Amino acid sequence: MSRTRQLMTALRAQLGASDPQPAPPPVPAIPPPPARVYSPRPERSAFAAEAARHTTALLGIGHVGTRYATDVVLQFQAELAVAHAAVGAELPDGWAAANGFVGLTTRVASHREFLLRPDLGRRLSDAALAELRARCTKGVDVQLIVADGLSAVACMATGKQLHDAVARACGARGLGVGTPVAARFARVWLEDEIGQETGAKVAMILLGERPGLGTGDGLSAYVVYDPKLGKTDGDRNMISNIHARGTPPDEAAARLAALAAAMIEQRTSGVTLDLGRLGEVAGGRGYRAPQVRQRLVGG
Amino acid sequence: MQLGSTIRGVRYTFASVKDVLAKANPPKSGDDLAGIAARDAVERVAARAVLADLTLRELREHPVVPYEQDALTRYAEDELDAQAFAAIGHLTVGQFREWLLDIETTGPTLRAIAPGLTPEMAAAACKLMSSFDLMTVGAKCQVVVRANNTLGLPGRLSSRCQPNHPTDDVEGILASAREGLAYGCGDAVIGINPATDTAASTAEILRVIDDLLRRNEVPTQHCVLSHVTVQMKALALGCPMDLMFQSLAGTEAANTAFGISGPLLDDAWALMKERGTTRGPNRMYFETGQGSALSSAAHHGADQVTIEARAYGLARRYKPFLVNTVVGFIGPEYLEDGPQISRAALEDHFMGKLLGLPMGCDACFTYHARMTQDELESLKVLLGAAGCTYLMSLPVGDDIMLNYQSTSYHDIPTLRRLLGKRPTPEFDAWLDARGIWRDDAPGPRFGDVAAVR
Amino acid sequence: MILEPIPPSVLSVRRLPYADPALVAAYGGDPARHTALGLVTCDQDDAMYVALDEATKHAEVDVIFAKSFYAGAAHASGRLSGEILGVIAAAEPEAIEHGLAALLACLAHDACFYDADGKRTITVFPHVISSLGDYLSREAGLPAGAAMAYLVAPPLEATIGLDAALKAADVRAVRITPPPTETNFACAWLTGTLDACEAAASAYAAAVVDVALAPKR
Repeated sequence: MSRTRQLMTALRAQLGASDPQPAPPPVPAIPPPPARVYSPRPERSAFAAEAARHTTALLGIGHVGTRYATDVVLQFQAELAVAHAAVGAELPDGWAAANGFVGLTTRVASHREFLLRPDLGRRLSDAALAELRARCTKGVDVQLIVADGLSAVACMATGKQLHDAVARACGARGLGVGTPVAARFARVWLEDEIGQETGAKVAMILLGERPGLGTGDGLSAYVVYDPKLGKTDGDRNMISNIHARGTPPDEAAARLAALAAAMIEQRTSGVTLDLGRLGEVAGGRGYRAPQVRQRLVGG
Repeated sequence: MQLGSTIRGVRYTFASVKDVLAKANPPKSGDDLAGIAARDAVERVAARAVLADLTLRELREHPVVPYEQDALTRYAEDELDAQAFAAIGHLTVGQFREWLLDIETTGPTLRAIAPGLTPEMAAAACKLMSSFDLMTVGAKCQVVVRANNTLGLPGRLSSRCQPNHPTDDVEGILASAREGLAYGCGDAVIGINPATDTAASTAEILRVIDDLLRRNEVPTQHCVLSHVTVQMKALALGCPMDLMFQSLAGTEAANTAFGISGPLLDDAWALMKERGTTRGPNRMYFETGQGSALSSAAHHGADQVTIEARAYGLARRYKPFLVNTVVGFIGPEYLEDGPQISRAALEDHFMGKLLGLPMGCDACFTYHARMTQDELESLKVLLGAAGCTYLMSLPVGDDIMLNYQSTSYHDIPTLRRLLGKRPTPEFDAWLDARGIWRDDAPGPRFGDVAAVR
Repeated sequence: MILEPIPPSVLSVRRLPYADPALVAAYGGDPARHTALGLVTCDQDDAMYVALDEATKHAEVDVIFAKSFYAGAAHASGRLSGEILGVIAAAEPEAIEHGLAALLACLAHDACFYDADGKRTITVFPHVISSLGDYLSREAGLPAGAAMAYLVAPPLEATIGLDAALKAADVRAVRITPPPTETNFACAWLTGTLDACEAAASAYAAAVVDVALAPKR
């Protein structure tokens, strides 16, 4: 190294001016970056437009460095907030009665306990058990249960509509439906105890499913034959994503009634149920147009 | 064997090794749910003090599920490498922890002793370790595997591209996969969780992805994560299959609930050795996650960390190309919040690596767990620093089928730049040739889906 | 950053393997000995003078021409003019190559102005030559191999700096050029032992920085 440069380095240190980094460059002119705007109508690029015809995944959103543009960040945060709000919502007292249901509670005492103790959400409280025994018809073909599950928002939005549609679809197949009940802080397996108590051949719980990004409004339906405590997931059949922008309630109801009928006919449910004999109505992979992702921030 | 300890004059005693292991765990909602957790922080430390003085030999003699009751215990015991075990069996868990952390204990040495460890030993060490301890040892372990790609080399961070679709629309899957590749993601695998668990659907998706990889000469692997029996049927249909997938749990009973067994996995592996479409030799892909055994009441009263280690014990029999914990997917009843999910991720990575697995992690949360996006991003940095082999990658980290939040297409290049990591060498060269990634920075076609036809 | 090096920019480097004798003579060379020329322009004249001298230590070359341009690099006649044209001459093109290599290395790694106020609006050249070559020893009237402090700064700063330098060590002024030079700076060449030259250069730089930071104290 140059003697003079060493000398000046030492002098700089001695003068207390030894800034460890070089002076910043002159401040440049900073124009706004090219717009990369998230849009639910992806007219910006041919790829984004084509992709949006097939998927709701956020594709073609570009990048800033390796990160997201500000519009994308805000849309993403809004979708996350919607999901969290749906999880945090609780079914109000009186909702069941106001909608013509017998209101049932589980052994869960608080929302946090509901999230942490699925075992308590699978069992009726003593009061609810007494209520059920006192007010519900026994020995029916299908016992329907509407419940909050992980989205009270979805339950309140579509629960009543789906319940009534399934009841009609069952009636059309000649299946008797039990007294309408609605449960709060309920998990899927609660249908076992309720079905056991009412002596139903099939129990079917319609409950808010775990929200996804921007979607807190989906319901799932779980159906089990010969409901009783001790049934496992393998004993159940299910349909998910039931809401206006997913599987519409009327379409879901037709499939659910077909499932219930098949269970009663085959005297089983879950992995041992032969779905092949049901045809398209019970599920299959029918084409469904992707949900349109809604812009949540701004106009 | 001493199962009691004294803290500030108070005597704590424990019923069994299994009880000690459970109560030594950092707080997890799943252990509370199972009713096996320590009642407070002091009892937790008392359990750790007992655990620190147990020898690895004593752990071997007291598996958390008895030999007679569980095939996984029998595999671990019967297939243990006697010579490797003899080298470490005399150490207490406390000494074992210190030996793992010693600078002199290197990656190659850890590889040599891995076959002498039962899962319970890895879990026990885990319980005495802080996050930095777990990261330090995790980063030391060297597990290199190969299919079409060579995964797990030093200085590398790979990713699974996960272009899931709620109805398996192959055009939607393709669009997402192409974009992922254009962001430099997918060197571990292009892996799709199918919405429909049928052989025909599995074969259809595999063919489409196979075409994509061939058309663009992408050096990676494909996999459709249907049930192993479904994939075996798909293979019989004559479709290409680079990797075969299955979810694993840590007890025989829990695996029965998953519809699998040792003999079934043996058959699947044999079939892949015959029909798998990569260079190999590693051909299997497994996912695990703390809490899955408890969710089917198949945990035998053991804690979820130890049970998770036992799933790795099963996985290692099949020399997998990929193993990852899906750490935040199971929900808050098992891992309540950000700190619990983050701790579990580091634990799982450490235990898997220590047992010789090419351990990746699906760092994620469901929307009913209390974890923020910032916490999740921090966890990815911790995992990257701990030498995690791969993470996931999806558009904005949002799985539109499984409804949870994971790693994004944008996160992988961000992490590589932050941590000075590169993708697998084969994939790195491909990215360079395509102009997607050059050295340590985005190339001219970064994020441009036209770079992938 | 204060006293951060401001490396000179070399703006053009060209060779004339067989220069016309009339040209050589006009630029101060001896056509009998000087057939090959090396020409360099750069944006720091004093760094170039030092670098030209450095070339004479590494190759059989003579500095036949070196002149600063009026008002400095900020007012250059063209994009490549900079602040100075230096010409080295030799009998063989090969000697020119060696000379240019030494010259360019010196400009890249050694001789340069330094930032005196942290904004590069005031600069100082406090260069120490441990061993003079043919060129500057002739210019200074010193024996080849002598040590010399080559000190340049703007007018007032240079004046305060020179006073400090002369008092700081056992040095003798060889040449003092009060302002303005062609480039409107002021210059002084001091000699003494190497240690003395270094102490003088440090004192000079420190004084210039002091004035730069407190011009009206």
